Amino acid sequence: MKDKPREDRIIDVNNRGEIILPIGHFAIFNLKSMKNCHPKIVINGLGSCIALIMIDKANKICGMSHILLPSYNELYYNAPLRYPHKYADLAVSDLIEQLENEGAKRVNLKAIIIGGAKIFQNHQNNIGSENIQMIKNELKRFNIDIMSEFTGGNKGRSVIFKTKTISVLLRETHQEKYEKIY
Amino acid sequence: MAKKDKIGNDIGIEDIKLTPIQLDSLKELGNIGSGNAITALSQLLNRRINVSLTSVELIPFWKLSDEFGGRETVVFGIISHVEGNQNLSILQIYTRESIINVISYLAGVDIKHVQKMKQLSDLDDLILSTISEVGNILSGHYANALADLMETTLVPSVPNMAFDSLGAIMDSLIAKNAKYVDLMIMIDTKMNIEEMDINGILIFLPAFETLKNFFKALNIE
Repeated sequence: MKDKPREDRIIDVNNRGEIILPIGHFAIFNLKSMKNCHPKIVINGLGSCIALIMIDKANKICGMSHILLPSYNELYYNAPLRYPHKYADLAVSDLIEQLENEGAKRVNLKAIIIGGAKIFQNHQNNIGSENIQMIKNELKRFNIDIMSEFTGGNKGRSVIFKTKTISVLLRETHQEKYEKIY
Repeated sequence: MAKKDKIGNDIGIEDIKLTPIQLDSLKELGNIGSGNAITALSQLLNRRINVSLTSVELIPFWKLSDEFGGRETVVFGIISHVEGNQNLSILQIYTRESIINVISYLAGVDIKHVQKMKQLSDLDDLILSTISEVGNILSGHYANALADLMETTLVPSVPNMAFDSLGAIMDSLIAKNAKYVDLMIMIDTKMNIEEMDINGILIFLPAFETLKNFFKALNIE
Protein backbone atom coordinates (compact mmCIF):
# COMPACT_ATOMS: atom_id res chain seq x y z
CA MET A 1 0.00 0.00 0.00
CA LYS A 2 1.37 3.37 -1.01
CA ASP A 3 0.88 6.42 1.15
CA LYS A 4 -0.20 9.60 -0.56
CA PRO A 5 2.76 11.73 -1.67
CA ARG A 6 4.22 13.94 1.00
CA GLU A 7 3.72 17.64 0.61
CA ASP A 8 7.17 18.42 2.00
CA ARG A 9 8.92 16.43 -0.75
CA ILE A 10 9.77 18.67 -3.67
CA ILE A 11 9.65 17.09 -7.12
CA ASP A 12 8.76 20.01 -9.40
CA VAL A 13 11.52 21.01 -11.78
CA ASN A 14 11.39 24.61 -13.06
CA ASN A 15 12.07 25.61 -16.68
CA ARG A 16 15.78 26.01 -15.93
CA GLY A 17 16.03 22.39 -14.82
CA GLU A 18 16.25 23.34 -11.16
CA ILE A 19 14.46 22.19 -8.08
CA ILE A 20 14.37 25.04 -5.59
CA LEU A 21 14.32 23.50 -2.13
CA PRO A 22 12.51 25.66 0.45
CA ILE A 23 13.18 25.52 4.20
CA GLY A 24 11.71 22.43 5.87
CA HIS A 25 11.48 20.49 2.59
CA PHE A 26 13.47 17.63 1.05
CA ALA A 27 14.12 16.00 -2.32
CA ILE A 28 15.10 12.40 -3.17
CA PHE A 29 16.34 11.07 -6.50
CA ASN A 30 16.96 7.62 -7.87
CA LEU A 31 19.32 8.50 -10.70
CA LYS A 32 18.98 5.10 -12.40
CA SER A 33 15.30 5.62 -13.06
CA MET A 34 15.77 9.12 -14.45
CA LYS A 35 16.87 8.86 -18.06
CA ASN A 36 16.52 12.31 -19.56
CA CYS A 37 15.93 14.39 -16.47
CA HIS A 38 18.91 15.48 -14.41
CA PRO A 39 17.72 18.31 -12.21
CA LYS A 40 19.90 20.56 -10.12
CA ILE A 41 18.73 20.89 -6.54
CA VAL A 42 19.22 24.49 -5.45
CA ILE A 43 19.17 26.41 -2.18
CA ASN A 44 19.83 30.14 -2.46
CA GLY A 45 20.76 32.38 0.44
CA LEU A 46 21.48 29.80 3.10
CA GLY A 47 22.15 31.54 6.43
CA SER A 48 21.88 29.74 9.74
CA CYS A 49 19.98 26.96 7.96
CA ILE A 50 21.72 23.79 6.79
CA ALA A 51 21.74 21.98 3.47
CA LEU A 52 22.18 18.28 4.19
CA ILE A 53 23.07 16.13 1.19
CA MET A 54 23.21 12.32 1.38
CA ILE A 55 24.52 10.11 -1.38
CA ASP A 56 24.59 6.36 -2.02
CA LYS A 57 26.97 6.31 -4.99
CA ALA A 58 26.77 2.56 -5.60
CA ASN A 59 23.00 2.61 -6.01
CA LYS A 60 22.90 6.12 -7.48
CA ILE A 61 20.39 7.42 -4.98
CA CYS A 62 20.71 10.80 -3.36
CA GLY A 63 18.73 13.27 -1.31
CA MET A 64 18.86 16.74 0.12
CA SER A 65 17.19 18.44 3.05
CA HIS A 66 16.89 22.15 4.04
CA ILE A 67 17.00 22.35 7.83
CA LEU A 68 16.01 25.34 10.00
CA LEU A 69 16.35 24.41 13.66
CA PRO A 70 18.28 21.93 15.82
CA SER A 71 15.46 20.09 17.58
CA TYR A 72 11.76 19.46 17.65
CA ASN A 73 9.86 19.78 20.89
CA GLU A 74 6.43 18.26 20.56
CA LEU A 75 5.25 19.72 23.86
CA TYR A 76 5.42 23.24 22.54
CA TYR A 77 4.56 22.66 18.92
CA ASN A 78 1.14 24.09 18.17
CA ALA A 79 0.33 22.57 14.80
CA PRO A 80 0.25 19.07 13.33
CA LEU A 81 3.85 18.26 12.41
CA ARG A 82 3.96 18.68 8.65
CA TYR A 83 7.54 19.66 8.09
CA PRO A 84 9.86 17.33 10.00
CA HIS A 85 12.75 18.59 7.85
CA LYS A 86 12.54 21.88 9.74
CA TYR A 87 14.33 20.14 12.59
CA ALA A 88 17.79 18.56 12.44
CA ASP A 89 16.90 15.76 14.87
CA LEU A 90 13.96 14.65 12.70
CA ALA A 91 15.41 15.51 9.27
CA VAL A 92 18.44 13.22 9.44
CA SER A 93 16.50 10.09 10.34
CA ASP A 94 13.69 10.88 7.92
CA LEU A 95 16.07 11.53 5.02
CA ILE A 96 17.78 8.19 5.71
CA GLU A 97 14.40 6.44 5.81
CA GLN A 98 13.29 8.03 2.54
CA LEU A 99 16.58 7.11 0.84
CA GLU A 100 16.26 3.52 2.06
CA ASN A 101 12.68 3.37 0.77
CA GLU A 102 14.07 4.37 -2.61
CA GLY A 103 16.59 1.52 -2.47
CA ALA A 104 19.67 3.08 -0.86
CA LYS A 105 21.79 1.06 1.56
CA ARG A 106 22.64 2.68 4.85
CA VAL A 107 26.26 1.43 4.77
CA ASN A 108 26.83 3.26 1.47
CA LEU A 109 25.43 6.59 2.60
CA LYS A 110 27.79 9.54 2.88
CA ALA A 111 26.88 13.09 3.85
CA ILE A 112 27.79 16.63 2.85
CA ILE A 113 26.78 19.51 5.13
CA ILE A 114 26.71 23.18 4.19
CA GLY A 115 25.50 26.26 6.07
CA GLY A 116 25.04 27.16 9.73
CA ALA A 117 26.52 30.64 9.39
CA LYS A 118 26.12 33.40 11.95
CA ILE A 119 24.80 36.24 9.82
CA PHE A 120 24.15 38.76 12.59
CA GLN A 121 27.41 39.04 14.49
CA ASN A 122 26.04 40.44 17.74
CA HIS A 123 23.23 37.96 18.20
CA GLN A 124 23.65 36.15 21.48
CA ASN A 125 22.37 32.78 20.40
CA ASN A 126 24.00 30.98 17.53
CA ILE A 127 21.36 28.81 15.93
CA GLY A 128 23.73 27.96 13.07
CA SER A 129 26.28 26.23 15.27
CA GLU A 130 23.50 24.45 17.20
CA ASN A 131 22.21 23.17 13.88
CA ILE A 132 25.65 21.92 12.82
CA GLN A 133 26.19 20.18 16.16
CA MET A 134 22.83 18.42 16.11
CA ILE A 135 23.27 17.19 12.54
CA LYS A 136 26.75 15.87 13.34
CA ASN A 137 25.42 14.05 16.42
CA GLU A 138 22.65 12.48 14.40
CA LEU A 139 24.93 11.44 11.52
CA LYS A 140 27.27 9.86 14.05
CA ARG A 141 24.37 8.01 15.66
CA PHE A 142 23.54 6.46 12.26
CA ASN A 143 27.23 5.84 11.44
CA ILE A 144 27.21 8.09 8.39
CA ASP A 145 30.49 9.76 7.46
CA ILE A 146 30.72 13.39 6.40
CA MET A 147 32.62 13.60 3.09
CA SER A 148 32.67 17.35 2.87
CA GLU A 149 31.69 20.19 5.17
CA PHE A 150 31.37 23.94 4.59
CA THR A 151 29.81 25.28 7.77
CA GLY A 152 29.97 28.20 10.19
CA GLY A 153 31.45 31.55 9.26
CA ASN A 154 29.46 34.74 8.85
CA LYS A 155 28.38 34.75 5.22
CA GLY A 156 25.36 33.37 3.43
CA ARG A 157 25.85 30.57 0.93
CA SER A 158 24.15 29.27 -2.20
CA VAL A 159 24.30 25.59 -3.07
CA ILE A 160 23.71 23.69 -6.30
CA PHE A 161 23.62 19.90 -6.22
CA LYS A 162 23.95 18.52 -9.77
CA THR A 163 22.32 15.11 -9.86
CA LYS A 164 23.72 14.36 -13.32
CA THR A 165 27.35 14.31 -12.21
CA ILE A 166 26.68 13.95 -8.46
CA SER A 167 28.66 17.11 -7.82
CA VAL A 168 28.12 20.06 -5.53
CA LEU A 169 28.74 23.74 -6.26
CA LEU A 170 29.00 26.42 -3.59
CA ARG A 171 29.04 30.20 -3.64
CA GLU A 172 29.35 32.57 -0.69
CA THR A 173 27.42 35.86 -0.72
CA HIS A 174 29.51 38.58 -2.44
CA GLN A 175 31.51 35.93 -4.32
CA GLU A 176 30.97 36.03 -8.05
CA LYS A 177 31.40 32.44 -9.06
CA TYR A 178 30.40 29.04 -7.82
CA GLU A 179 33.17 26.65 -6.78
CA LYS A 180 33.00 22.92 -7.07
CA ILE A 181 33.30 21.46 -3.58
CA TYR A 182 32.44 17.88 -4.40
CA MET B 1 -8.27 16.89 4.99
CA ALA B 2 -5.01 16.97 6.86
CA LYS B 3 -4.88 14.42 9.61
CA LYS B 4 -4.14 15.74 13.04
CA ASP B 5 -1.55 14.24 15.29
CA LYS B 6 -1.83 13.86 19.02
CA ILE B 7 -1.28 17.54 19.71
CA GLY B 8 -3.33 18.70 16.76
CA ASN B 9 -6.21 19.76 18.98
CA ASP B 10 -4.30 22.97 19.60
CA ILE B 11 -3.92 25.55 16.87
CA GLY B 12 -3.27 23.78 13.57
CA ILE B 13 -1.77 25.52 10.57
CA GLU B 14 -5.12 25.78 8.87
CA ASP B 15 -6.80 26.91 12.07
CA ILE B 16 -4.79 30.08 12.32
CA LYS B 17 -7.04 32.54 10.60
CA LEU B 18 -7.50 36.21 11.11
CA THR B 19 -10.87 37.89 10.93
CA PRO B 20 -11.20 40.96 8.68
CA ILE B 21 -11.34 43.13 11.82
CA GLN B 22 -8.13 41.57 13.15
CA LEU B 23 -6.41 42.05 9.79
CA ASP B 24 -7.51 45.68 9.65
CA SER B 25 -6.30 46.34 13.15
CA LEU B 26 -2.89 44.82 12.34
CA LYS B 27 -2.71 46.96 9.22
CA GLU B 28 -3.51 49.95 11.37
CA LEU B 29 -0.79 48.99 13.88
CA GLY B 30 1.66 48.73 10.98
CA ASN B 31 0.57 52.09 9.60
CA ILE B 32 0.97 53.83 12.92
CA GLY B 33 4.27 52.12 13.78
CA SER B 34 5.84 52.65 10.38
CA GLY B 35 4.41 56.15 10.15
CA ASN B 36 6.10 57.10 13.40
CA ALA B 37 9.40 55.49 12.32
CA ILE B 38 9.37 57.05 8.86
CA THR B 39 8.58 60.51 10.26
CA ALA B 40 11.70 60.18 12.40
CA LEU B 41 13.77 59.20 9.34
CA SER B 42 12.28 62.07 7.38
CA GLN B 43 13.40 64.55 10.06
CA LEU B 44 16.84 62.96 10.19
CA LEU B 45 17.37 63.23 6.44
CA ASN B 46 15.35 66.41 6.02
CA ARG B 47 13.47 64.88 3.10
CA ARG B 48 9.91 63.94 2.27
CA ILE B 49 9.49 60.17 2.20
CA ASN B 50 7.01 58.31 0.02
CA VAL B 51 5.29 55.53 1.91
CA SER B 52 3.30 52.59 0.54
CA LEU B 53 0.19 51.20 2.15
CA THR B 54 1.03 48.70 4.86
CA SER B 55 0.22 45.12 3.95
CA VAL B 56 -0.51 42.25 6.32
CA GLU B 57 0.09 38.66 5.39
CA LEU B 58 -0.26 35.31 7.07
CA ILE B 59 2.54 33.42 5.39
CA PRO B 60 4.03 29.88 5.65
CA PHE B 61 7.51 29.98 7.23
CA TRP B 62 9.18 28.61 4.10
CA LYS B 63 7.69 31.27 1.84
CA LEU B 64 8.74 34.29 3.86
CA SER B 65 12.15 34.71 2.25
CA ASP B 66 10.70 34.53 -1.27
CA GLU B 67 9.24 37.98 -0.68
CA PHE B 68 10.95 41.25 -1.64
CA GLY B 69 12.91 39.95 -4.62
CA GLY B 70 13.85 36.46 -3.51
CA ARG B 71 16.41 34.72 -1.35
CA GLU B 72 19.43 35.62 -3.45
CA THR B 73 18.91 39.39 -3.46
CA VAL B 74 21.73 41.02 -1.52
CA VAL B 75 20.44 43.64 0.89
CA PHE B 76 21.37 45.53 4.00
CA GLY B 77 19.34 44.19 6.92
CA ILE B 78 18.93 45.78 10.35
CA ILE B 79 17.09 43.70 12.90
CA SER B 80 15.77 44.54 16.39
CA HIS B 81 13.94 42.28 18.77
CA VAL B 82 11.59 43.07 21.61
CA GLU B 83 11.66 40.27 24.13
CA GLY B 84 9.98 39.58 27.45
CA ASN B 85 6.22 39.77 27.97
CA GLN B 86 5.77 40.70 24.33
CA ASN B 87 7.81 39.11 21.57
CA LEU B 88 8.23 40.82 18.26
CA SER B 89 10.88 41.63 15.69
CA ILE B 90 11.35 44.67 13.51
CA LEU B 91 13.43 44.16 10.38
CA GLN B 92 14.57 46.99 8.15
CA ILE B 93 15.76 46.14 4.66
CA TYR B 94 17.62 48.62 2.49
CA THR B 95 19.32 48.38 -0.86
CA ARG B 96 23.09 48.77 -0.83
CA GLU B 97 22.76 52.17 -2.55
CA SER B 98 20.30 53.39 0.09
CA ILE B 99 22.73 52.71 2.89
CA ILE B 100 25.58 54.36 0.98
CA ASN B 101 23.43 57.45 0.39
CA VAL B 102 22.25 57.64 3.98
CA ILE B 103 25.81 57.35 5.27
CA SER B 104 27.19 59.95 2.92
CA TYR B 105 24.48 62.38 3.98
CA LEU B 106 24.68 61.76 7.73
CA ALA B 107 28.32 60.98 8.36
CA GLY B 108 29.58 63.46 5.78
CA VAL B 109 32.21 61.01 4.59
CA ASP B 110 33.76 60.68 1.17
CA ILE B 111 31.34 58.48 -0.66
CA LYS B 112 34.11 56.67 -2.59
CA HIS B 113 35.20 54.98 0.59
CA VAL B 114 31.73 53.66 1.24
CA GLN B 115 31.04 52.68 -2.35
CA LYS B 116 33.70 49.99 -2.16
CA MET B 117 31.73 48.25 0.59
CA LYS B 118 31.53 44.55 -0.08
CA GLN B 119 30.98 43.38 3.43
CA LEU B 120 30.33 44.99 6.81
CA SER B 121 33.97 44.73 7.86
CA ASP B 122 34.88 47.11 5.00
CA LEU B 123 33.18 49.90 6.96
CA ASP B 124 34.83 51.71 9.86
CA ASP B 125 33.34 52.03 13.34
CA LEU B 126 31.98 55.53 12.85
CA ILE B 127 30.01 54.46 9.80
CA LEU B 128 28.77 51.27 11.41
CA SER B 129 27.58 53.12 14.47
CA THR B 130 25.86 55.70 12.26
CA ILE B 131 23.91 52.95 10.50
CA SER B 132 23.16 51.28 13.81
CA GLU B 133 21.84 54.59 15.18
CA VAL B 134 19.56 55.08 12.18
CA GLY B 135 18.29 51.53 12.70
CA ASN B 136 17.81 52.23 16.39
CA ILE B 137 15.82 55.40 15.78
CA LEU B 138 13.47 53.68 13.35
CA SER B 139 12.86 50.54 15.42
CA GLY B 140 12.52 52.62 18.59
CA HIS B 141 9.91 54.89 17.04
CA TYR B 142 8.06 51.91 15.56
CA ALA B 143 7.97 50.10 18.90
CA ASN B 144 7.02 53.25 20.83
CA ALA B 145 3.98 53.82 18.67
CA LEU B 146 2.86 50.23 19.23
CA ALA B 147 3.52 50.49 22.96
CA ASP B 148 1.43 53.66 23.24
CA LEU B 149 -1.50 51.99 21.54
CA MET B 150 -1.33 49.03 23.86
CA GLU B 151 -0.45 50.99 26.97
CA THR B 152 2.63 48.92 27.61
CA THR B 153 6.39 49.30 27.24
CA LEU B 154 8.27 47.83 24.32
CA VAL B 155 12.02 48.25 24.31
CA PRO B 156 13.80 46.94 21.21
CA SER B 157 17.28 45.47 21.51
CA VAL B 158 20.28 47.28 20.04
CA PRO B 159 19.99 46.58 16.32
CA ASN B 160 22.04 43.93 14.59
CA MET B 161 23.21 44.48 11.04
CA ALA B 162 24.12 42.28 8.11
CA PHE B 163 24.93 42.86 4.48
CA ASP B 164 23.99 39.55 2.90
CA SER B 165 21.40 37.73 0.83
CA LEU B 166 17.77 38.11 1.86
CA GLY B 167 17.55 34.36 2.46
CA ALA B 168 20.48 34.36 4.87
CA ILE B 169 19.09 37.40 6.69
CA MET B 170 15.60 35.91 6.98
CA ASP B 171 16.85 32.52 8.25
CA SER B 172 17.38 33.76 11.78
CA LEU B 173 13.99 35.51 11.86
CA ILE B 174 12.25 32.40 10.61
CA ALA B 175 14.16 30.25 13.11
CA LYS B 176 13.04 32.56 15.89
CA ASN B 177 9.38 32.80 14.91
CA ALA B 178 8.55 29.47 13.32
CA LYS B 179 9.89 27.19 16.04
CA TYR B 180 6.45 26.04 17.15
CA VAL B 181 4.21 27.15 14.30
CA ASP B 182 4.24 26.90 10.51
CA LEU B 183 2.71 30.29 9.82
CA MET B 184 4.09 33.73 10.41
CA ILE B 185 2.46 37.14 10.41
CA MET B 186 4.24 39.75 8.37
CA ILE B 187 3.27 43.41 8.41
CA ASP B 188 5.33 45.40 5.95
CA THR B 189 5.56 48.97 4.71
CA LYS B 190 7.70 50.15 1.80
CA MET B 191 9.27 53.59 1.67
CA ASN B 192 11.36 55.55 -0.76
CA ILE B 193 13.03 58.92 -1.24
CA GLU B 194 13.38 59.43 -4.97
CA GLU B 195 15.82 62.35 -4.93
CA MET B 196 18.26 60.43 -2.70
CA ASP B 197 17.72 57.02 -4.28
CA ILE B 198 16.77 55.50 -0.94
CA ASN B 199 14.53 52.40 -0.89
CA GLY B 200 13.63 50.52 2.21
CA ILE B 201 11.11 48.17 3.74
CA LEU B 202 9.99 48.08 7.35
CA ILE B 203 8.83 44.65 8.45
CA PHE B 204 7.09 43.98 11.73
CA LEU B 205 6.80 40.36 12.83
CA PRO B 206 4.85 39.71 16.04
CA ALA B 207 4.97 36.28 17.69
CA PHE B 208 1.56 34.61 17.84
CA GLU B 209 1.25 34.82 21.62
CA THR B 210 2.02 38.53 21.42
CA LEU B 211 -0.69 38.91 18.82
CA LYS B 212 -3.23 37.63 21.33
CA ASN B 213 -2.08 40.29 23.81
CA PHE B 214 -2.37 42.93 21.10
CA PHE B 215 -5.93 42.01 20.31
CA LYS B 216 -6.80 41.92 23.98
CA ALA B 217 -5.29 45.37 24.55
CA LEU B 218 -7.18 46.72 21.56
CA ASN B 219 -10.43 45.07 22.68
CA ILE B 220 -10.66 42.88 19.59
CA GLU B 221 -12.02 39.36 19.79
